[in-house]
Amino acid sequence: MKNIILTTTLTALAAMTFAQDKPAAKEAAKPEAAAAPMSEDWKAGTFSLGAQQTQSDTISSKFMEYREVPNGVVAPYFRFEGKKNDLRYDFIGENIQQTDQRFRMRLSEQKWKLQGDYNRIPHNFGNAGRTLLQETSEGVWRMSDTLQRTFQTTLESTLPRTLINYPFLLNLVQPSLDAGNLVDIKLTRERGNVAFVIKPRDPVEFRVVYSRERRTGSRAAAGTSFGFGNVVETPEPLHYLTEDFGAEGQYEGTWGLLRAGLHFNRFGNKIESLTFDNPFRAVDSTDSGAYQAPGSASVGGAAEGRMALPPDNESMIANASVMFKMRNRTRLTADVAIGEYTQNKSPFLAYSTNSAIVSPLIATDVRSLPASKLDGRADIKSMNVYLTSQPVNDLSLTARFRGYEFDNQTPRITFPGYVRFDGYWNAIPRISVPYSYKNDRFDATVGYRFGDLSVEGGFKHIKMERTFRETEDTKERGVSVSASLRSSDWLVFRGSYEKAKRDFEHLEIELSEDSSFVSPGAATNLFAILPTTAQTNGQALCAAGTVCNLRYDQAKKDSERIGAHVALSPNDKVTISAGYLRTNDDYKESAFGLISAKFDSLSIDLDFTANEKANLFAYYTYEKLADFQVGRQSGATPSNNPIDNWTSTVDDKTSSLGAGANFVLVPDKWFLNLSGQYQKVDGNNALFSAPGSAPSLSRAGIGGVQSIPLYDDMKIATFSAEAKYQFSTDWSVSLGGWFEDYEFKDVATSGLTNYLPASFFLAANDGDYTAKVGYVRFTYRF
Amino acid sequence: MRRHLWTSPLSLLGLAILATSAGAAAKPAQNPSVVMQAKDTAAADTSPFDATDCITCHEASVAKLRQTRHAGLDSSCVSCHDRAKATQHSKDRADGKETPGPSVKKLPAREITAVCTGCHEKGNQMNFAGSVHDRKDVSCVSCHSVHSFKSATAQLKTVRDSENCYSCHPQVRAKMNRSSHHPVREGKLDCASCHNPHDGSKPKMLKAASVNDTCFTCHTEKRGPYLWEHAPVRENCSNCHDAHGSNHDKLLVAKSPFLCQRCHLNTRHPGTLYDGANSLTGATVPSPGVPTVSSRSIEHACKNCHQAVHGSNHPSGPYLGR
Repeated sequence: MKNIILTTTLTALAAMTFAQDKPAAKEAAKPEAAAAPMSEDWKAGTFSLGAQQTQSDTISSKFMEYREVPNGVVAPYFRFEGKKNDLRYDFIGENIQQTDQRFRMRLSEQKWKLQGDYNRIPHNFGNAGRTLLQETSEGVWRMSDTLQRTFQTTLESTLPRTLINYPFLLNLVQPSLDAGNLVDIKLTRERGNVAFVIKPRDPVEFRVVYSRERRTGSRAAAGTSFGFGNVVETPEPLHYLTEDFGAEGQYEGTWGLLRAGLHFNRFGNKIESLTFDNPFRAVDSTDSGAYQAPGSASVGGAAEGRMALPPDNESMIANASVMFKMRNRTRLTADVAIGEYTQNKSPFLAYSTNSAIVSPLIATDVRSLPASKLDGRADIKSMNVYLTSQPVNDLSLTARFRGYEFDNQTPRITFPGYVRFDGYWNAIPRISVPYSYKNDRFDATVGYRFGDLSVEGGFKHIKMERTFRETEDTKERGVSVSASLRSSDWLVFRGSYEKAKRDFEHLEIELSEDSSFVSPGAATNLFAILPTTAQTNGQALCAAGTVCNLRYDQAKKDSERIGAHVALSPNDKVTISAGYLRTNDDYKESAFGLISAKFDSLSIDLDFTANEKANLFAYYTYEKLADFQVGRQSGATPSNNPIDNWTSTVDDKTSSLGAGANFVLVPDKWFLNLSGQYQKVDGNNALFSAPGSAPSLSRAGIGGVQSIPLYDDMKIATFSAEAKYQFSTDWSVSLGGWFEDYEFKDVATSGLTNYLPASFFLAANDGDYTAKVGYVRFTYRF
Repeated sequence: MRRHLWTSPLSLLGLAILATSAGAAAKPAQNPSVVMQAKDTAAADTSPFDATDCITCHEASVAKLRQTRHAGLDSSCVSCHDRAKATQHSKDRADGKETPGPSVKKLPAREITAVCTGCHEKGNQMNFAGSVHDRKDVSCVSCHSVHSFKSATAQLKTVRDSENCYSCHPQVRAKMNRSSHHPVREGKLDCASCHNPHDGSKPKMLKAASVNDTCFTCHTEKRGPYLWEHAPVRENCSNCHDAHGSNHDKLLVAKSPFLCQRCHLNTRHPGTLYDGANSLTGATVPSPGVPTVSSRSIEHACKNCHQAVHGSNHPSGPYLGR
């Protein structure tokens, strides 16, 4: 496959190189170079240097999530650009010597161009997370052996086991946690790319691209867990390198354009696994309840756990496209890409680190595995055909076809079982499932212009074919109408309405969860039981002829989308615009899972330029998100009692506003810029389950099911001001500052502590902050 | 499916369009109002043009232009501006009369586009004609400025591309201010990192072939294929993530466990309701003795154990737990 892609692409590129330079008419029409009074040599530069003072009331990582706001000397910007003879040059630097620094360069002449970009992006997830573990080498987190043994001994000697409850465990671990290690969870992306473009002769252009990104650090690893009773959140180490090599060619003729390219991309991970100690076990052991330890069921399990980190992978994609230019503004483009994703270099880890699991196989030995690595390969094919035309005056047509196929050729591997959270061998044979899918989309529009008013009608048809899933294919058909009015210079109106319906075919609902089981048993997922399954109320799970338990990405769906945008510019000074967007997804047959998702947004923007000395702008956006879903709580078997249903109604209301002003206080001397932004999110999740239901009964002592009023509430306010004094044509000084206040009341993370029932959490600080920044900057321009 | 499409009336209409449009590239457009003619007309008179008169009055407009490749165009100002109007305007000015100049930005949107695509209809701009922006009268000068651009590259009217986009897509601006967001407001990524606003050939104007291929540009570790795959993840990252911003961890469209429970209503813990009593900031629980907070609803919720939701390469990872 790789060879075919390579050969085809190189042939296409070579063909371009040797292609005859046909557009003679175009060349002949080119005039002698005119006197060009604007093309003399020039150079310009900007250099900024300053000092900055930052004050923040907490160590929250959120303040510097993707940026550095340093104290002391700062060099926020430089640019040096110009033209000498045929050579153009441009060098730009931002935030020099900071963790978010960026450099860009461009050199070009008539026949070639060289451009590069180095962009460093910090990503701070949380500061001062606390853990009992310490990183002893890349990807290995250990705790004190003595402490580990002490905890194990304490648990083993505690009888009866029912005494091992949360207060007991908290009391045991808290003193050690108080003296635990502090870790910042953060990573850095260092991405660079360089592109060289050459035009050996006028209609032919070649481009060679190389990009490289190194990601190092750690991210907020989702819990590395020993099971239901013992999550041990550990930083997940990253040491990634992604490289992309590309070669592209373009040939431009009077008839149109031909492009072809080849991209090879490889991802390498220097750390193939994350090993983390079990705070409650120093010596491996195994028993059937180990995945629930520590607690009444067991105090067993592995002394350490190990998870697989993302394996090395590669992709090779070749693409070719041709665009024909025809009269009546007709354009026909065809674009084809073929390629493959491969993942076949990283060896499998053993089933487990638990040396106590020796039967029916030795879980720590990779020779117990049915394969040493995955021979992972997926063939990727995509095709776009795009036709647009204006066949008669004021009439416009477009039609697009897009086909995309992810054809997973990875062989299926059968495993005799698996080790559950490194604690216990589960002898349930499983087989890997290489999902494939194919997505075809056709859409078309017809538009007509009645003077200033344009109207358009559209149609779309989307087909998704899948393997190993409960529906073999889904089809979505939609129609749309839109209108656009541009009356002179002062009024622009755009409005659109779209309605679509999705349906499915070839349902095999058992596949919902059975594909990876060698011997499927009774369904345990409500989404996998037959719609005709009888309920305690005597009725079937779903109404006759419907499937009410199909997942939302395949279920029948009615969608609506309404959009409107009005912009008024009554004169050169004022622009007022307003926008409205509504999307409404209604899973009309579904009785479980996501039932409806609605989003409404209303925006108003104002821009006022009083004169050359003053410009003001302001905006306000209101958003309302409403999701409704239904679940059902079950015990050991799927509940067939409708009373066990529960509902979740999420209602997020967001208000965003911003305003700013730019003043020229004294022409060519004093300038003042002010701006502010504020956003408030009020989230609520109203939960309900009928009295007598399983959820309600379990909360009988606290008044039933509790809603979550502080679901994802947030406030962020930023205000900034800068005064600039231009004390000569070359030099200016700016004095400025900004203030930022962030509050987040999140049901999942706000108030997190290091040990909560069944879990050690890092509880790294990414919460509220108030920060003030002041700076002075000197800028030299020439 | 494809056979059906090729034989559909719409396909036949497409073939008819091609038949009537074919072979026209070398001929001048016949319909005077067809915007392509603007380009053809401009190309007709390509004799040298002396820009001295223009510069005399429009020095301020030309100052920045001098630093761009546009300054070196063979026909100078009339490479883009109407030659006849420019000449007349110059003459009238000399005679003390005020007549409208040959402004490009006051032309109808498609004529503006035709002026620019005369040279730029290639590379990333090759499929602008007929794109949703083109059809909605968003012309090149809606976002770009030849004479007074503010961005370091691409001659945009704003310092960053996102500010341009937000003027018509304000709901995206609002989402970018959410707690979980891509670093667009910090200037480390642009809208154009994922979208090509000139490309009408692909849904949502994505630069890559699919949503997932767009995401894999930066998140290559999630490309796989994996030993244990998660089907909806493989099909579309947008099933679970909102790339424009969210108040839930990792740009999720909903908070876990509720997001996961949209598909996993299994027996025992997956189908169990985790309510305010199980949460950190939910309803106050009157002295229960033991906290009822659950590791299945806080911090990463389901991902506290099933961390490999994008796929696992671990033999013991069928439940994406390793």
